[in-house]
Amino acid sequence: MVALRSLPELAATISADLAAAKIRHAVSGAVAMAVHGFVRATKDVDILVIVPQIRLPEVFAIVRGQGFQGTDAELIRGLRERGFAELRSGPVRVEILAPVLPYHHTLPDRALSVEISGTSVPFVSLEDLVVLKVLWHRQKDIPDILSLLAAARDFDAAYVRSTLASILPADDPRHAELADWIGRYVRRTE
Amino acid sequence: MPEVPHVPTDEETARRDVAPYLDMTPQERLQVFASLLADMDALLNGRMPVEAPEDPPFWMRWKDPSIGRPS
Repeated sequence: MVALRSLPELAATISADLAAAKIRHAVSGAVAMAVHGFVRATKDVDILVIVPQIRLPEVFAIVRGQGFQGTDAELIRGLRERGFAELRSGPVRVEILAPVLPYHHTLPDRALSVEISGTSVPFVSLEDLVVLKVLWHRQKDIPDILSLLAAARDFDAAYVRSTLASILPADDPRHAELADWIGRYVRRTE
Repeated sequence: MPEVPHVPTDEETARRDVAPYLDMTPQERLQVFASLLADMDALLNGRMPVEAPEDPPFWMRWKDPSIGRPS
């Protein structure tokens, strides 16, 4: 059974194997938030993978190689129907996310590479974590957004604004909400 | 008059939550993160964490940004 304390090493190991297989990816979720300066508990490793469907079994085999469970058939069905597949080991989940929006395809391009145990691991950028959480807008996303903004250095507010403008309609209240948060929480903007 | 305890604002909470890590490297932050998760391992002691169901579930938000629009 995989222990929660091993999540950073687990993310690095899976990332190294994905990189060796030349599979574009980026680590997201609470592990990425910790990298950017907001440390909170989780039980998940979230990894966005950008790969043709025919290569998805390779991704699942890499995660199963770390002691996780899930059959190719059920995982592929999960990705087709829900956009993500979940592999479990004890309390730990590895969630494999597949891009749905065109924007999702661009996340690895702006990932922050961090060296962990000799592996350069791509983490979703702080700005993109903010964009994603503004889009999802669950109750738990709001304190995450505020803390990420408070942790930000050299925050690229223009990128966040333009990205949201490309996804959400102009009258969506999330534009004004985020503008207010950026004004109050970010120390140094643009 | 009894003193009313100060309830931290959202901004105070956010700044307090990130203050210890502002000057750390990403690697140092991940060490703190792993230490926090080790505490969770100890608390769980082999039990599975209890999860509150999300409504609507996360995958719907991942696929459709309009679901997150505040009412």
